[in-house]
Amino acid sequence: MKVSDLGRKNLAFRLARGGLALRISPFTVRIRSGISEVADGIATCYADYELLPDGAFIDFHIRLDPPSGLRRWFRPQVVFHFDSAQPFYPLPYEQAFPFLEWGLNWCIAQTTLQFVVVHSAVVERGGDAVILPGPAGTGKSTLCAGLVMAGWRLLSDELALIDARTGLVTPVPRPISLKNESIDVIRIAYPDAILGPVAPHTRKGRLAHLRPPADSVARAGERARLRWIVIPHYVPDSQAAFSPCPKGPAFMRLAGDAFNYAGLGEFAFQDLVQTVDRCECLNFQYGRIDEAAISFDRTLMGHS
Amino acid sequence: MLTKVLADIQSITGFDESQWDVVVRQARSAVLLSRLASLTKAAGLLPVIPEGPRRHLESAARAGAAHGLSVRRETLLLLESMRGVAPLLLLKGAAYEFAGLPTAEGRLFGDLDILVPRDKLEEVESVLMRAGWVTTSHNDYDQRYYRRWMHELPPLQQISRGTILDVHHAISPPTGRIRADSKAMMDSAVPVDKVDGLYVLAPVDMLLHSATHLFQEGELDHGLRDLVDIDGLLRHYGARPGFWDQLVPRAQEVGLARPLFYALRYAAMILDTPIRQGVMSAAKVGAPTRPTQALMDFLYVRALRPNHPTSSDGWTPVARWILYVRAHWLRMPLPLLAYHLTRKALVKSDRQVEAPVGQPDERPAREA
Amino acid sequence: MWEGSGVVFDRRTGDTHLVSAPSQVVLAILRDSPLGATDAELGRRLGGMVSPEDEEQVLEAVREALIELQRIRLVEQLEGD
Repeated sequence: MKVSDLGRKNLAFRLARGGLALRISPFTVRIRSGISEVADGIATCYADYELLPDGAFIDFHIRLDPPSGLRRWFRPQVVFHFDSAQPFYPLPYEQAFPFLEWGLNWCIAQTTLQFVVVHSAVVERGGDAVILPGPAGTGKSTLCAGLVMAGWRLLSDELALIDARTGLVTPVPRPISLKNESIDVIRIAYPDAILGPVAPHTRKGRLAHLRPPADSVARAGERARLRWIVIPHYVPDSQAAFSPCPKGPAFMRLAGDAFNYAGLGEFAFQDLVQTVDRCECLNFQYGRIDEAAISFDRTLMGHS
Repeated sequence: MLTKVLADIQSITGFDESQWDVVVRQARSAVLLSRLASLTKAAGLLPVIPEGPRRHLESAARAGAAHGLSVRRETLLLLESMRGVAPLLLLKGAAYEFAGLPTAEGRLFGDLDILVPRDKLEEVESVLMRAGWVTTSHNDYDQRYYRRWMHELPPLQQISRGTILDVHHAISPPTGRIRADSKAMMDSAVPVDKVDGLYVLAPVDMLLHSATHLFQEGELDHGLRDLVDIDGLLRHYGARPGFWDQLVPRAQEVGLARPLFYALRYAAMILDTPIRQGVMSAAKVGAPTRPTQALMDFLYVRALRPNHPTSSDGWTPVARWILYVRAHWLRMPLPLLAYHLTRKALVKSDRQVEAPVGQPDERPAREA
Repeated sequence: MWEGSGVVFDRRTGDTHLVSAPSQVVLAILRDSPLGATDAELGRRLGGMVSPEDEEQVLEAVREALIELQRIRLVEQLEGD
């Protein structure tokens, strides 16, 4: 049974009461919230995701609710609970759904230390995966959205879970976050794209989430071999172009974008060396999303 | 449920998914998930655990291993800085790691703890400052509080690596009601194998310090983890000849008979730690009066549970608070206690500052 | 090590460094030489690995490598070197 099979009212009810247990492959998540924006976001962006039966082991028990106390009535806030902990300071109430996404990213990064987890988008075509590393603001999510709408399979828009021993990436397909102009760009270029609620005033501006293609969600169990590391550079009005990136600097870049690199010390170092060794490292400059997608198909797929 | 698992790891075979769900959550909140991973690995049980919980244990195992390497590294860097000034005597987690104790595996902790003689304190402080260790307390009250009432300096932080260091100059607060003979314990310190200049307390003293730390301090957030340490120390050193015989006499000698009594009592009660025949009754010299003992049982049995809603009853928060107050009572005279607690309460509420709008800011976690 | 540059993990401090290829080689040689090595020795051994175009160029590369490695404290200069 999927989320879309529950009526909107039923969804909100379950979310507020015992919580909604979903498979967000490869994880199982139980979300509890009385906040309507959260229900809206889940109904739109997580429509294709499978519901779990009672008694299943749950990886992340998450709750999003206003803090208790007088603050409820004046400039309301929302708190993210990961089991009995509150790892973050509260955020403004209308950012509840993005908070769910950010919080979930954090939960995943903290509990999958056996993987190299890189802050990057991951897409796949023809059995080979590409990661697009970069912190927020470098355009990786927009590029990722463009590639996915052009038919690349989405493995993740934020977190690459790389198994250093096998070189395989584990998919965690989830809604793709888009900011400001990107929202408009994607809406115009892909009128069929389904977007969740827009949070108006986050620190990064307007924020919305794109529903992942049903196919990507359905194939979440299929891991892919990591073949390329492509560092995206958005330069307005430029021609799409790939150029080689020496592996040493690529490594340092990835280390900076890897969660828990410092904490895992030498383990992370060895894993990342193995990973970079196996991949082709490239820089990618682009100015238009549609051109970027074509360039990817031609250059990367042409290689195989 | 977690305590039963820690007392008998075999009990996990046959757990269903919902039981695993509870155990993992309790373990994570008690900072014992890595420890649980070590125990399951050592018992060869990892393959039989269902995939969901097993992945969490594997991740926690890696965290534990990386942590161990990082502790070693930090300690050796500290040793470089302190060479020639004072011997480096390790306490708690770092000591367990260098003493090669099984209980060190999977034990996560945030701070390094070291013990220096009181007369070397100023010299050590200045050497550390030159090596980039700066104080984390810029508040005069805290500085005075730590130096006068506590047995340690306010925590220091390494400026480039971020590591936190607690410099102790006594085993327990020198002005407290329970006065340990820190000098005697320091004098009996033993060198660490193959590392010149590094020391740990003698086995019996290590156990006594662990007991004092748990049963005199107010910070019970890691109570169960600290009890697991005590259990580990008793099991490991208990196999050494002379350990059990020396335990009670040494405790009396250094003034720590009361914490020893509690340590033995609660380790046996909660974690089924085997205590040598006769030692428990000998340890009764440190026992409190019967009414106090009954009260302490009530408080500690609750306070030493994992700090998680699935293992608390209505009394648990109260129990913790009472023990927190007791710890301060043990540390200071009464009129000052009231002032200190009031101040602490006020300062805490000042800290409810708003985070800037936008991406969530992580709360700083002490001893994650 | 990859073409042109390499990465090194310093076990002593936990730091990761990006180093030039010659530095990577010099470091490897020094690791195998418990008593250390002089500039000239390093030049000889490095020259032996690449085509010995210009002895002076190789020696220059060695000196630059040593400067880089000393700066990140992976090697230290002993008296009389």
